[in-house]
Amino acid sequence: MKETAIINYGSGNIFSLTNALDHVGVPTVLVSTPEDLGHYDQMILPGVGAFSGCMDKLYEKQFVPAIQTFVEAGKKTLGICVGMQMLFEKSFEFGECQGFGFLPGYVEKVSTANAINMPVTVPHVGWRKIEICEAALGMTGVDQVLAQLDARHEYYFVHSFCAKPEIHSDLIATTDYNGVSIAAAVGRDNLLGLQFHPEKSGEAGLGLLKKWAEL
Amino acid sequence: MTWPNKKPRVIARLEIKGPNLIKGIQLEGLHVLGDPSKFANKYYTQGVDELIYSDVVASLYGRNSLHDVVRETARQIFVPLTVGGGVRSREDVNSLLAVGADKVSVNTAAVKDPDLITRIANTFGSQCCVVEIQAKKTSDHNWTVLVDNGREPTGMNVLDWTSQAIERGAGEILLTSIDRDGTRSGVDLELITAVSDVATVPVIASGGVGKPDDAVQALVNTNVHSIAIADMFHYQRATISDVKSHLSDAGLEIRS
Repeated sequence: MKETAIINYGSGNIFSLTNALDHVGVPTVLVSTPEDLGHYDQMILPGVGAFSGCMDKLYEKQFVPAIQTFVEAGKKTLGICVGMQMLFEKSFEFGECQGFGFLPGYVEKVSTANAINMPVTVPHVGWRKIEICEAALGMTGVDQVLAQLDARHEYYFVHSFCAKPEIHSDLIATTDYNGVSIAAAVGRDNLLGLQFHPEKSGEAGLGLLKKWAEL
Repeated sequence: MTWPNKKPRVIARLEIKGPNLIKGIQLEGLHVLGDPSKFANKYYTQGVDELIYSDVVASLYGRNSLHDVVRETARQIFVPLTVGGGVRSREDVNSLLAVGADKVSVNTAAVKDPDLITRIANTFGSQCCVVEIQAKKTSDHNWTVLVDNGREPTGMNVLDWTSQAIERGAGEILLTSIDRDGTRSGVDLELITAVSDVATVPVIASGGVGKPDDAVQALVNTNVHSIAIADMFHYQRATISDVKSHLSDAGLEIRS
């Protein structure tokens, strides 16, 4: 099987991700320099913490142009958590910060106000079911992953910010957090972004990672 | 006000001393139970939603012996793992994340140096920073914060410290009732109600669950998000599914 490059830039729980992929028999390589990224056909961009902190580290390690080239070449890319959020144009966490802009839209704080006027704590932490968006069905690239992104399963979320895709069909799945709708999965063509942590979502998450890696 | 569709996590809490899982009463009188990763594996298979590892001697002796245990566990379980005990700096956090922890919990060092919470939250994100608050009742509706694994009273008020920890960047509060820990006598509802009413981040209640219904009481009647259970699971007086089916019968949504 093709090796999956994991961007090792000092953010994200690389060890958990590598463990999870190992467990399902997916070979991984930690890529720590931008020059090495070109050798691979698929990559995972992890990320936890602050959006601007993650982008800063990617700039510092000069990963930004290499990632742009990789994605623009149509190579398969999976962003997880903040790695997913960075696929968008900008975030409003600690002031405005620019992302990659592969997907139109922005990232904002999870709303603490909801339709049913009940308290919503942030960070959003917990296991949630997802709902697949009809507009995303049948799209090339991501549709095979959708088969595995099973709405019956629950996935582990831990985040304070969430993505707001501008293009309807870029929103693949949502989850409901006490009446607040959150983008759970986004993507188009070669791009997939997951707000939840598949590497920490038990067997359902492991199955999803394997399916994506084998596409 | 209680939550309309709260979905509590059922968390197994494992106290670690050296290479062993241990359990004590009110954090004293320790019993050795065996290899923690074997217990962790069993809980993962049974559908546990999360694991918390606490090194119970770390802050006393100024060392952290958890790395090997965490590494071994993280290879085999794929749910979130919080690790605490003796975390004093961002370097400590980094070294725990590097062996497979997803979050860290801080107690003693954060009380002595509250800015530690902010430094961890700014570097690794609030979601990574769990503040453990060990509470002991001093008078009616009044609890003091303890440090050094329940040994040292600080004189700090638990509710004030909860608000301060959140303001400084805590992503979750792990609330341990020292009065109830290991007693199997039920959770301290008064304590967890008071803390979860002031908290604006998720609160995990720990200490005192002796039977599945104790977990139901904690989650149905308060704003607590989740429940951490130790010896009831370790001694197999109930399984994770037992707890989940009780919660489900009480009308709470749970992860199946």
